[in-house]
Amino acid sequence: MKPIVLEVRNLKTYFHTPRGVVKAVDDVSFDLMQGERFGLVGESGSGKTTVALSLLRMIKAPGQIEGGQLLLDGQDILKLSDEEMRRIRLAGIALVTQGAMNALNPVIRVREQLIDGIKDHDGNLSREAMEARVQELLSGVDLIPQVADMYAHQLSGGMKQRVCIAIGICMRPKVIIADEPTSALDVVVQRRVMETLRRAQEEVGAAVILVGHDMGLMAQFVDRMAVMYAGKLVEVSPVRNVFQEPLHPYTELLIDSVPTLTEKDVLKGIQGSMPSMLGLPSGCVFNPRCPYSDESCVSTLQETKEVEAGRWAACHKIDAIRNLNPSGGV
Amino acid sequence: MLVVWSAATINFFLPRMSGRDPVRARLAAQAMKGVSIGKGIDKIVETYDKKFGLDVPLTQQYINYLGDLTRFDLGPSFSRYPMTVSQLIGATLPWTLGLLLTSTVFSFVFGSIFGALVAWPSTPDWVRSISPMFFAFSAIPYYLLGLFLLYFFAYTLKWFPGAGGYQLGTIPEPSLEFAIDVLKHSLLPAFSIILSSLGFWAIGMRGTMIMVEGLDYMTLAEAKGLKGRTILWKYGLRNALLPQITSFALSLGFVVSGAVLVEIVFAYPGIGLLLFNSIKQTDFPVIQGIVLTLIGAIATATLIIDVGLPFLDPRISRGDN
Amino acid sequence: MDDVKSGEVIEEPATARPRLTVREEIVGYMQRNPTLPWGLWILVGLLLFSLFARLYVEDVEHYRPLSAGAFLSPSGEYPLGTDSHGRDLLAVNGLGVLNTLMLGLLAGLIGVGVATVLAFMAAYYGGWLDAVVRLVVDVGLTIPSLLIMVLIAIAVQGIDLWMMALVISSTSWLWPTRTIRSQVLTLKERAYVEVARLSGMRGIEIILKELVPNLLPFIIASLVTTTASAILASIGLEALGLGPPDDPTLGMTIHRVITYGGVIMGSWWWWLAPTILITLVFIALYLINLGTDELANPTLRRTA
Repeated sequence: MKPIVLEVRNLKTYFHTPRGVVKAVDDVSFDLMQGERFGLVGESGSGKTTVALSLLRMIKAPGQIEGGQLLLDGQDILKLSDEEMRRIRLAGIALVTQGAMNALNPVIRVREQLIDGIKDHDGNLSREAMEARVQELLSGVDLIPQVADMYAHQLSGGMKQRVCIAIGICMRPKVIIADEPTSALDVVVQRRVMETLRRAQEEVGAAVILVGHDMGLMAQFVDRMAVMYAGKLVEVSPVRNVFQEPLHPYTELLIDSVPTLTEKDVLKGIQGSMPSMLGLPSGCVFNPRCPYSDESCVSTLQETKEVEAGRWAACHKIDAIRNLNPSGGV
Repeated sequence: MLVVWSAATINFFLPRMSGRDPVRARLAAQAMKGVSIGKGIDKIVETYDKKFGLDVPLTQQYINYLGDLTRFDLGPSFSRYPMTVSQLIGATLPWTLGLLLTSTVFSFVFGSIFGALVAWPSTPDWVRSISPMFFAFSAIPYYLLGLFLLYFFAYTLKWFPGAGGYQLGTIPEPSLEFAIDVLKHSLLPAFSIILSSLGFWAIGMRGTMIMVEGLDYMTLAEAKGLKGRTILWKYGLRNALLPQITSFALSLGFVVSGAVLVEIVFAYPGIGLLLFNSIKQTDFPVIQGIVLTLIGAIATATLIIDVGLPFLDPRISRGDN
Repeated sequence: MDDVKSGEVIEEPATARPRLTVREEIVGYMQRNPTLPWGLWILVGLLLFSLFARLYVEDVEHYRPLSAGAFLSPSGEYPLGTDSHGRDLLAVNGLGVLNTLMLGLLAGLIGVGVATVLAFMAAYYGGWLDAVVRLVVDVGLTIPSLLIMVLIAIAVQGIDLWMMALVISSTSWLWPTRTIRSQVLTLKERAYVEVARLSGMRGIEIILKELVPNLLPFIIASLVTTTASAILASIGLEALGLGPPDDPTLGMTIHRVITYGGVIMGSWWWWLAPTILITLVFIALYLINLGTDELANPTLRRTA
């Protein structure tokens, strides 16, 4: 097994709103292996972006990281000073946001935006070396050298996304967080951009956390995935197992909601909607929408536990469900 | 151009709507107020009659008028004949430009930076704690603040001279003493413009910065581990500056009107004081000349900003390739 | 940023809003926008000051010159002193506040009234009418209004308060025309206007029955801003010496202070009172303006 590069231990990020405390991320734990592609899925509002921002320690008031550990190569980055944390960003953990919209500064050239991050991490190179680095980065994401002289508005959505990837890998980070990197692109471009991301990631040897809600994209890209619901991790499994035999009922519903080409079923949505984050149901937070729930689900919360080797889930009824449909989801 | 033309046209037709001979009516009005007109009167009436007399058709009058305007020939002054309007304005304009440009640029630059800092999360608290003071000053019109300053610094403390652009009795000459004297006289008026407009720019900038801070590229800038300074200047301020400059262009009218009134409070020998005195002496050609000059100046400044903006914002002009 | 940060996710289930009486609506609005009552209280204070002045001076006519000795500092008889021409400044300021406020309100009403009619016609009927209105407004807004007013004011002879209000209205309609027009344009696209049109309502009817009632809050809010800028303009014009010479206003007092060197001669009472009064007027209008933001800004409107 590959060594662990990032350990997330009992991460808690709460938002203190005037109407009460919102537990956007509640007791989330997972490990990230070196070079692995890890998916983090959930509906909007499930807390997945908050997890991403927490890993970078970029939570703004009224939000706050309340507890837990974030061990990057064994070092708890929650204990670092602000300046030390600033140096970790990009060099240790890089973020690739949804680039098609506004991720690039509209008034400075792409070159400047590739260089400034390196400069602020003491990567003081000569002019020529810097230029060479820029060209290397651009060609690494399949962009022509002229892009360096362009502004964001002159680039297409796919090109902007590639620039964002180039920025993300420019300091050869250990972890790349890709937060819905392709959600605003059309499917063909989406695929090619993901291809670029995969190549860039393998070249740098970084692990990727792909944050998103697109199960199809996850299936194509990641090795393992974690499913979030209402601030909690409900399942962590290798991606193949997730699709063959989801452990948590929510995962199962999530997979069922993906349209497939082979089945001409009526598209199934998920019953109900996410609960208000201020008035979470007691016990298991999914119980009001869960087809299998009973009193135990309402009264007590099941901790996440290792169900079988490499697979974790938080559900009382796993065994019961397995007996119901032995073949699993799809 | 359209702006200048329409202002000029209003200026032309407005007095003629009464159906009276504008020159004689006004000279008569002036005479009634007991203002001495001097021996030039016949001369004035003669030149005016030739161009704008009642026997000349209105369209011809209008053409004459526009033709004169393009040559900056605004006719002679009623009250200070044989000085022409252009000469009077030419003598006062440098004072106004000097005062207005320096104090406006100063307050715009520092007000904008100050506003940005107030909106910046990691700004030390003491910076933020002085902000209400400037915001409060911005609620008071320039000239009222000028009255306060005049009373405390010129009358009570006697630190600064209370009126004029330089010491009476000295002859304007390019010497160091004269320069210092001019500076001393301009400090109080400049200060009242700066104090009351700094907060105005700061409020605008704060609003824009708060909006900019919510944008995706600011999140990415932070995620890139950039230094706070880099994010503030290159990402925040640089982007917030564009709407700020646009609003600057829109507010030029207020800035100029305010400065005109400040000059009056401090008897500063600029175009505002000339306007004030001309109104007192009902010197119509001068008043109209000043108004047209100021409108022309504002239109020019707006044009310069329009031309210059693409250099700051690549999205405006360079979106071609 | 699709998480709770935006605050939109934290939505409570829609419950039936209980119907509120007008009184409860107003009280609730004031509680949500506390600057509104503050601004109104300052205005009331200013009016009380005016009333007090009226009752204190033995003769209202004391705002005229030679009512008392010149340059008297504040005393029991003349609590605000007198000016260079022997005007009782309490009488002057008391009437001045009232006149200035009235002048502003009048110019504001005319301005917003003209603006409303023009904006509705232009935005609703479009075409050449809209093009002309837009052109005039765009050009007019580029020229500093004070300068236009100077041109107009010098062409008018024997200016009084009413004339003054008209002069100021000559430019005060420009800005509200622009803002109201754009509001009408957005409202026009709403479904219910379309429904009204399809159901056979005529243009005028739609404007009066559907559009005006919906934009009334916005129009009221723009009346506040227009009044504030009208007052600012009136004081500017008066300071330049283009005000009504026979009516006491705050701006004319400032004008006389400047003309007769009131500051340099140390008569602090002469300029201090009108300055404070003007500042209070502006603060009051500013607070009211803040307080009516919720009315003016449809996205902020929570009672809709």
